[in-house]
Amino acid sequence: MKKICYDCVIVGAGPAGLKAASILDKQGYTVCILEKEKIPGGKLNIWHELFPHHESAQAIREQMLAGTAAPIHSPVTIKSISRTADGYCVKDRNEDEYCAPALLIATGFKPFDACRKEEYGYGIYENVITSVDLEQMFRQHRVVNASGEVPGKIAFIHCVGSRDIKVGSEFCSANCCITGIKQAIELKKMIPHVNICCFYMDLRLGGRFFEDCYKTSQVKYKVQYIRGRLSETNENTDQSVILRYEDTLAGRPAKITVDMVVLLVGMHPDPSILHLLPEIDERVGSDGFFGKGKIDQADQSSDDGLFFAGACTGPKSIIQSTDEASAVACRISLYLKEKLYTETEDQHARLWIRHSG
Amino acid sequence: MTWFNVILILPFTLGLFVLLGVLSVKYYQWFRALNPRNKLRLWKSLSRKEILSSITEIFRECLLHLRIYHQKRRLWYMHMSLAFGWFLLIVVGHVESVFNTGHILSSPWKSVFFDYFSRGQEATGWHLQGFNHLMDLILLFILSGLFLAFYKRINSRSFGLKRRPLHNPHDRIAMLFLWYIFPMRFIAETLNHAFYGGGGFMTGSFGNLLTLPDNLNYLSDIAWIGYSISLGGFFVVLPWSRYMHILTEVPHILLKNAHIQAYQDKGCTGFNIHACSSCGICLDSCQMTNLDSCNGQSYYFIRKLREPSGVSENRMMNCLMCGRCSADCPVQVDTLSIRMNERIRMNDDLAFDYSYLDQQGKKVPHARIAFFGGCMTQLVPGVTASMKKIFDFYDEDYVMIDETESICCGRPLFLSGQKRAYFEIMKYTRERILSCKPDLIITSCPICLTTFRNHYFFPVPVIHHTQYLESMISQGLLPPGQSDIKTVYHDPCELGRYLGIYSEPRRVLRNIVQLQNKAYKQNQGLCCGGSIADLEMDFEEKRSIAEDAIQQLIYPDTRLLATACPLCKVTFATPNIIPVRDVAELYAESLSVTIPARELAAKEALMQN
Amino acid sequence: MPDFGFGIQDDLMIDHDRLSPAYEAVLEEVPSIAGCMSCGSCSATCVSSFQSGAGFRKLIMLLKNGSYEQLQQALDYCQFCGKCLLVCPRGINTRRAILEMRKQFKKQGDDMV
Repeated sequence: MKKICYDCVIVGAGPAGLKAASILDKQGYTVCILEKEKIPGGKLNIWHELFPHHESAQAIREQMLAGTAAPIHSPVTIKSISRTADGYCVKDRNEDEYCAPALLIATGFKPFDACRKEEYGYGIYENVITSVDLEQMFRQHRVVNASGEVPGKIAFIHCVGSRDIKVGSEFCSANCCITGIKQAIELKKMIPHVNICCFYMDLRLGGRFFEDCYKTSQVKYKVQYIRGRLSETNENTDQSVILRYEDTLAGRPAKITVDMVVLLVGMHPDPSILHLLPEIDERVGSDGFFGKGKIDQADQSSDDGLFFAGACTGPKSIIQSTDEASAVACRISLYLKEKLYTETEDQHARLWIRHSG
Repeated sequence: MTWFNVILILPFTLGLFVLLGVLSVKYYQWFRALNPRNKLRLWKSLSRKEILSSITEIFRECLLHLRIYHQKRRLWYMHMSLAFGWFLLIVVGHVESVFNTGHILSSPWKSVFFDYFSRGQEATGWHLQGFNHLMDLILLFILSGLFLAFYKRINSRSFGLKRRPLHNPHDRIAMLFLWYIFPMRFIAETLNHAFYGGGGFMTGSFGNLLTLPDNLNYLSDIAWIGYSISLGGFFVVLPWSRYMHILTEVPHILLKNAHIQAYQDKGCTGFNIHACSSCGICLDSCQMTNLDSCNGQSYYFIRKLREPSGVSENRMMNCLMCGRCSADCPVQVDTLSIRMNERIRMNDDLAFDYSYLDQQGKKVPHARIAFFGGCMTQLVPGVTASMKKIFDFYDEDYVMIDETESICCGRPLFLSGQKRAYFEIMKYTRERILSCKPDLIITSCPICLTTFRNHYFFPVPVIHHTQYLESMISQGLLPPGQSDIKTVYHDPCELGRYLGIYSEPRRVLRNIVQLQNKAYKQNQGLCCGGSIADLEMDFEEKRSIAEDAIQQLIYPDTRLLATACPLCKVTFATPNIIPVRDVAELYAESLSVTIPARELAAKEALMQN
Repeated sequence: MPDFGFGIQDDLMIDHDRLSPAYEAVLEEVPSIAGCMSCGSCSATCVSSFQSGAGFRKLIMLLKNGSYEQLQQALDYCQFCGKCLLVCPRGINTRRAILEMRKQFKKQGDDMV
């Protein structure tokens, strides 16, 4: 039961948290990171390769961990977060307290629970998996269906848990389309003869080099794209899956039998931190993520020492998370400078003298 | 008969004649409009024992309003005091006048205006005095109810009504006349006794208190005329107002006890909609009342039907057809049939073409049990997968008719009013199901089951899957072992109110989970809001009904909501408040058959939530 | 204009300069149909689309483009089951829209224009 004071406490050791920590501690602030899983790295622990250049998630993870000397406490289960005169105090289950004038929430996202879309048969049909499940197969370098055989035909379903009023999430997760393309390319590299069909409503490829990935997947890897959203799946006796859909571009009903279905699940807000934060309602947008999505919104959170960065403020790629984390780290730095230092001048330079205590 | 007497009784008599005339015409028209089969049923019922139950019901409901007594006490007292009180006033008044004049058949005016006609005559004998007091007591009884009625206009919540019904002009005028009758009688009698003496404990005493000079005795006459006008005015307006229910309830009860439904029967519909007393109790039962945009409740619907302009399409289509209003109605108006009639009238002439259904020609293998999931089965594959596991476990010879494609039973078409189209689909679906020559048909969808029982007339029994599971349990075929997960069971409207299947699902659940259910009257179960009968509501409105229903059903420590209808399952799962499972899924889990690893993980995640 | 020996099939080309009055009429009763993004979920789940080739998405498209004759034929196939309503990601009240379309075309022919 101890209490340690820092300049900034970061909740979440994912890409955003690690990036912010690396910038802040290079500037001389004392930082600590609290992580709820056993090992740090956030979702970098479950990806295999990252879009758009197929960089190794493991390598990026090592790089980011090496970039900061801040202590990472994991696993930590936060019991309460309270606001004090000096800032924030985070108490964990063992009654240890971590106090700081600035608190950065970088808790990331939660992949959509595909069981909620019961019509796709996740959890009911053996050969229906999610993109997260597929990524685990990539990490183990072994992609097989439920019977242990290498699949000959695979279908990717876009927009599972995104843009869907029926699951209460009307936003677009912005990164599932490119994830699907990336995984399709990885599959083709691993199993050259496999047939891949992607079923989409729209292809949202806004990031840099995303369109190149798309063209590559079509031209070099012969991935098929069919515009038609799936509503149901059905299982044959041999556990292969029949899909019935409308090819909307052809305007005709169609069907296909595949050995495996991959659901590209969306990025949903992680609600576990919400009930712990004091007076948080105005800071949460209508879609459940932090912040209101307005221009230059990082500035708006700067007056009370509570900051948000990364996927917890909206669906983001890792590149975007680290970029935002850098920006927010600078905001934190300015905030702390005002709070902790007084400015003086001598004949040579401007100095900032730190307050004691 | 002096000329003044004539003036006095004229409004009353004219009103009464108009009333009786209009009533005769209307009742005659409605009786004639009954279907021939229903007419026969009615005549038969009059000579059977059912007539006795009808008579007791007339007494219990029309006069004593016992159904309201069991729901809202204050409201009951208000309605009952007016109804029963007025009945007593008439009957006892008539007896009083018989006693006084010695003639059994004295004219109605003698009893209605008794105190006027017996002016100056001393009441001799304790029994005649007794009548004075008795009549006063009854009048007091009525006035107390009237006072409550005034108060209800101001503060309806104290009567347990969440929403005050908004009356239209006809009803308001009739209500005014009705409210004038008894105070006018009170004033007339009091003034009468003030000038001419006599009277009971109330009117007599008040009369004695008023010391007025004798030359003002015309005031008493004016008051009597006022009384007569109130009565006459009320009688004249009555056939066009909600108070038509006072008399129409009687034939309505006769029809109801003869098991005559208003479905496709203009005459019975006429009796039904005029037997509605516009009491407003159905407004509280209706789950759409909380949505500000709703105007489709039975109260407004039936009232609009009585008006010449009729019902607008939006109002007619905006109904869940859940049956809660009919279950709570003190008069037992057959709201569902009436609404179906309107829908059929408006929509039955729409075009359709189902010839493509004929080209299927699929061969379905023969089996003992035909399992029909219903069209929504494809959206809840957990239910069919569970039923498969269960059938395999019990080694049944079964075929799943709609395993890989959706087949519709046709009921959604029927509920929208497109009856001919529905019968067309029914032909094909019926043939499809019977093509496997089953001995038993099991379905997991209560909506399909309702329509199978109503119209399909299968040559073999057709049951719900919870009934099948319950029979397995009765035969001792469920392996022991019960999960302790706290579960609440929700009665689907079609399974509960329409089909009366309440106990089987509960029995099944009690053996496999820890069932915690509030004890409530069976037919007052909540609707999930997902109704296919409602065509007006948008997604947000339906979801808010589902959320409200869930909050009312569950306890703070409930972990699971169990239901027996695929539509309820989809509707309750959408707000993501609590996990929802079908009874079949829970049964399959409890059979401890091998569960794929991912499903187990999902189950564990569910336990941790 | 000189006759070149072949005709211009102008019913093949959709004229988006023209408004579709039937679409406006249905839109007034069911404002949510404006949110259709033609994803095809409705057709994928439709009970009748695999035999008849017409799902709700196609109905809206025909309605918008003014192809009333095809629409009238396609409308006849709908079994009104409501599955399209349950799966639509935009929450469109599909059954009401189909009922409204059926009522608009109760009378014969294309004189809805």
